[in-house]
Amino acid sequence: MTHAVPLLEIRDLTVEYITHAGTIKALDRISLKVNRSEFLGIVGESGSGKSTLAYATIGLLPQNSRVTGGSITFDGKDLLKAPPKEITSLRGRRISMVFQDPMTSLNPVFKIEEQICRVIQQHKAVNKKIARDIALEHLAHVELPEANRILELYPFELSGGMQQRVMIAMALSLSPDLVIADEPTSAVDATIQFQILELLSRLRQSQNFSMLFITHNLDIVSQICDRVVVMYAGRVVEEGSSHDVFSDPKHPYTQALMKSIPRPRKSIAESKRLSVIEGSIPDMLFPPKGCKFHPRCPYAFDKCKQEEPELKEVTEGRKIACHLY
Amino acid sequence: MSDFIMVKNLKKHYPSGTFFNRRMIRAVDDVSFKIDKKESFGLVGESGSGKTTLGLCLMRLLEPTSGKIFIEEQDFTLMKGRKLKEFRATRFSIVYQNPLSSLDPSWIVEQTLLEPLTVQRTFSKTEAKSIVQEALADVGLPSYILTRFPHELSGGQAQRVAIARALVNRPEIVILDEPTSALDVSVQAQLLNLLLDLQEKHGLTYLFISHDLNVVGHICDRIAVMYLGKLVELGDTIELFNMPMHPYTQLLVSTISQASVKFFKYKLKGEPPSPLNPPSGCRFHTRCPYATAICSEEEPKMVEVSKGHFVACHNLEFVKSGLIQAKDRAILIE
Amino acid sequence: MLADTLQNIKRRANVWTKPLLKDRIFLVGAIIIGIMIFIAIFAPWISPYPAQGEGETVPNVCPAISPAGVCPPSFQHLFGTEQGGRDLLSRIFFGIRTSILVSFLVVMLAMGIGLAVGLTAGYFGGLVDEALMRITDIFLAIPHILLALNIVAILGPGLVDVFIALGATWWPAFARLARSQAVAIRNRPFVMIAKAIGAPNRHIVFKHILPNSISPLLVQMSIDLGAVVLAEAGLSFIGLGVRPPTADLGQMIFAAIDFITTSWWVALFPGLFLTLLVLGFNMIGDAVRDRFDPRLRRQF
Repeated sequence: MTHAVPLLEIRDLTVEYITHAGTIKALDRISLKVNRSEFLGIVGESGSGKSTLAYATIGLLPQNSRVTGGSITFDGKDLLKAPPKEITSLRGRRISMVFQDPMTSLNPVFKIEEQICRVIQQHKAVNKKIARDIALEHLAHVELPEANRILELYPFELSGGMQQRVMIAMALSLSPDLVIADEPTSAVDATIQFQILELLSRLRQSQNFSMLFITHNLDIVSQICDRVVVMYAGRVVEEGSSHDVFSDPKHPYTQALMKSIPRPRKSIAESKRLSVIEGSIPDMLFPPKGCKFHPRCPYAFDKCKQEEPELKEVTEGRKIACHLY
Repeated sequence: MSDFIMVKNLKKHYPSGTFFNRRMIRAVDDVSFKIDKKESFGLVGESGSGKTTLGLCLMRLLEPTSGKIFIEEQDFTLMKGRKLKEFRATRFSIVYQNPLSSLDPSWIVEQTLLEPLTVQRTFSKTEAKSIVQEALADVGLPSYILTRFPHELSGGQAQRVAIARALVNRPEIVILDEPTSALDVSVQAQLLNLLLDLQEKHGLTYLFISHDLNVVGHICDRIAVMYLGKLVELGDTIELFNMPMHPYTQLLVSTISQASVKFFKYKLKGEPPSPLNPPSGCRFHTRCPYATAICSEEEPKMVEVSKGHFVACHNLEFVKSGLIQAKDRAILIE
Repeated sequence: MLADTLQNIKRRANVWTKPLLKDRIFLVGAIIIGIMIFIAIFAPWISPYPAQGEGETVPNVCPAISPAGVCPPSFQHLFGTEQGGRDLLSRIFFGIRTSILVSFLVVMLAMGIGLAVGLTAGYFGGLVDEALMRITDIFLAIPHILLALNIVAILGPGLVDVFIALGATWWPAFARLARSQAVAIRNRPFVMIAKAIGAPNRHIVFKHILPNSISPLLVQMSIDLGAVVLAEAGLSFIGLGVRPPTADLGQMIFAAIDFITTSWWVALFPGLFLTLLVLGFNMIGDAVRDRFDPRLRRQF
C-alpha cells in the first residue's frame, strides 16, 4: 500500500440538481482517492451518480447543478475553489476525458487532424507541423494503422472502434495525469470493446496515467481496473481492489448485483432464472430515510431504516457502507 | 416431426450506391435454420452481422429478397395482402430495444396496448380492455400505468409495456431484438425472468437477438452466430460455449471474461469489414488466424460436426486442433 | 371515450402550458394578445361609437378645425377622429378585429394545407413526395404581394382576396416542416409495429404521424401569427386588401399619410396598436419557440 499523495482526492462531495420538480441529491458526501498510475473503476446503475462524479471532476456539470459541499483535490489543488481559467488550462492538459459515444463527441464537420491539433495547440505553443507530429505519434500509440490517412478523414468515415481510438489518442495527446472515461465502450461491439480495453491496459504501461473508469459493466471493471468503487443512489457503498470486491463482495447491493448478472449456463440442469434485486432504484426526489438501499435489502433491520451508514474501512483497503459491518 | 419454423436460404439484399456504381448490401445472405416450438433461439452477432434484418425478415416486416419461411408447414413467404396481415398479426409479435421509440410518445399506455386488438376490429372495446388488463397483470404492472405516457415511465416499466403489447394478440412467436440492452443490470435480470415466466405460461417461442453473449448464453437453448450476413455456427448453447468451433465464435466467447477457457490466443487483425464490401470467399478470412488460400476463394458450407451443431469453415480440422491446444494451456477463470 | 381523449389532450397540453406560464415574456405577450382578442370579440359592445367603427361617417364633427372631419383627441373622441368624422378608437377596435380574424384564419388555413400536403408527401415518399414538394416549391417562390395583385385583378378587392393571397402563400413553410417530421417518424419502431399489426395507412397517418409531427408546426404557427398581421396590414396599406368602409389598421395608416403633418393622431394610434399586436404575437412566438422548438434541442 503506497503512502504517496494521491493524484485525485475527493472528499465529502455533494452535488445537487435543481429541477422543476424539486431538488435531487445526485452525490451525497462522496469520498474517494485515485493514486498515480492507478485505474479506478466506478460502477453503478442509473441514478447512482457515477456520471455526475465524472463531470464534477472535470468541471463540466450542467447549469442546473450545484456543488453544495466537499472538495476535489487534484495534485494538491482544490478544483472547486480554482478560478475558471485554471480549470480550463487543466482540462485537456492534465485531466482529459473520453466520452461514451464517439459519433457525437467528435465534431462531424472537421477532419480528424484539425480536431486533435486544436487540442494540442490550445495547451502547447507549437506550430501546426509539430502538433501534427504529436498527433501522429499518439495515433500510432492507439494502434491505428495508416495514421497519416486517418488525419485526413472526417469522423463519419471511420468505424465506431476507430473513432473511439481517436478519442483516446486525443485524450492522451498532451500526456495527462488523469483520464476520465465515461462508459467509453458502451457504444462499440464486444470484440472492439475487448480490443480497446486491452489497448488501455497497454497504454497504461507506456504512457503512465491514471484512469477514472465509469461504467455499469462489472466485467469491464474486473478486466482492467485495479480498484473499484461501487455506487448506489448517490453514495459509495463499497470500495476495494477489484479482485477482492468481485471474488468476495461484502455489501448486500454488490452481492445482489453480481448474482443478477446472466452468465452462459454450464449444464441443462442449471436454472435459467436469475436472482433479482427486488424493487427498483429509489426516486431521488424523495429518497428513503436511512440507508438508501434498505427497501431492497434482504438483511435490512431497524437501524438501516433510521440511520445512513458511513463508509468505513473494514479490512486493509476495503471500505463498506453498511450497518452489518 | 415437423419443424415449427423453418427458414431456407433466406436472403435480404439492399441496392445501394449510385447509378454508375451499383452495389448490393447483402445484409442477410443465404441463411437456413429451424426453430422448435417453445424454444428460445438465440441470434448473436455484432453490428453489421444482419441479425436484426434477419429478425425483421422472419416476420416479413422487411420483405426477403429470396428464400422460404415455413411456419408449421405453411409457406409464409407466399402469403399476400389480407392473409399475410392476418397470419402475421395472430402469430408474431416483436419487442424492440428502446421502448421510448417503440411506444408512441403521444399515446398513453392504454391506447398503445389496445391498438393491436382494435386496429383490425377483431375485438370490441370492452373485450379488448379486459385483455389489456390481463396483459398488464402478466407483466407485473399496476393499473395506474394505463394512463401514463411513455416518458413518465422508467426504462424497465416502459419495456414491460412493450412486452405487454407483444402479448395482447396472443402470439406464438415473439421476436426480441435486444430487449434488455438499454436497461440497467438489475432491471435486466427482472425482465429476463419475466420473459421466462411468460414463455412458460403462454408457450411462447422466442427469437432472441442480441450482441450480449452473456444474456444469450444464459437464456437460450440454441444459438446461431452471424457474421456479415452469413451464418457461421449454429448449435446447442451449452455445447457452443464449451466447444466453439468457428474461429469467430471462439473470438466472441473469449471476450466474456468468465469464459472458462480463453481462446484468444491470437490478436484480432484489423477492423470489421463493411457490409458494403464484404471479403471474397469466407467473409471472416481477413481476420482469421487459421485462414488459408481456399478461404479467400470459396465460401464455406455449413457442415454438421455433431448432432445439431453446424459450422461453416474450411479448416475445421485445423481449428479443432487449435481448440485442443487452447484447452491444454487453459487459463481457467472459474 | 371522449372524456378520456379530452383528458389526454389536457395532460399533453399541460406539458406545454406549465413551463410557459413561468416565462415572463410569454406572460406579457399573452396578456397583450388576451386584451386584443377581447377587443376583437367585443368590439361592437365596447366601442364608444360602434356604428362609426363599422364605417358610418359623421358630418360636421369639428367643422372649425377640419372640414374633412379629422378632429384631434377630445373627451368625446379619446383618440380623435379620422376622415369622415369617424371615432378613431372605435375604428381601431374594429381594425383589430379584422387583423386578428385574418391572421387566425390564414394561419389555420396554411397549417391545414401544409399538414395535408406535408404529411402525405413525407409518409408516402417516392413520386408522391416529389410531386407534392415541387408544387410546394412553386408556391414558395410566389411573393404574396404579387399573388394578391393578381387576385384583386380577377376577383376585385376585399377580405377574401387577402385571405386567399396570404393563405396560398403561407402554407409551404408548414408543408416542409410537416414533411420532414413525417419522414423522421415513419421509420420509428412504433410505426413499424403499427404496420405489423395490420393498421391501415389512414390510422397510421392520423393517429401516429400527425400527433407526433405537430409540435414544430405549433411553434411556427405562434411565430407566424404576428407576421401575417403585418403582411395583411401591408397589403391593405397598398390598397390590395379590405376596402373601406371595413376598418383595417393598415388601411387606416395609409389614409393617414395625407394628414400626417397636421393630424398626428390619425397615423399614430393605429400604428401603435398594430405594433402592439404584432409585438404580443411575437413575444408568445418567441417564448414558445425557446421552450419547444425540437430543432433547438432544449432540455426541459
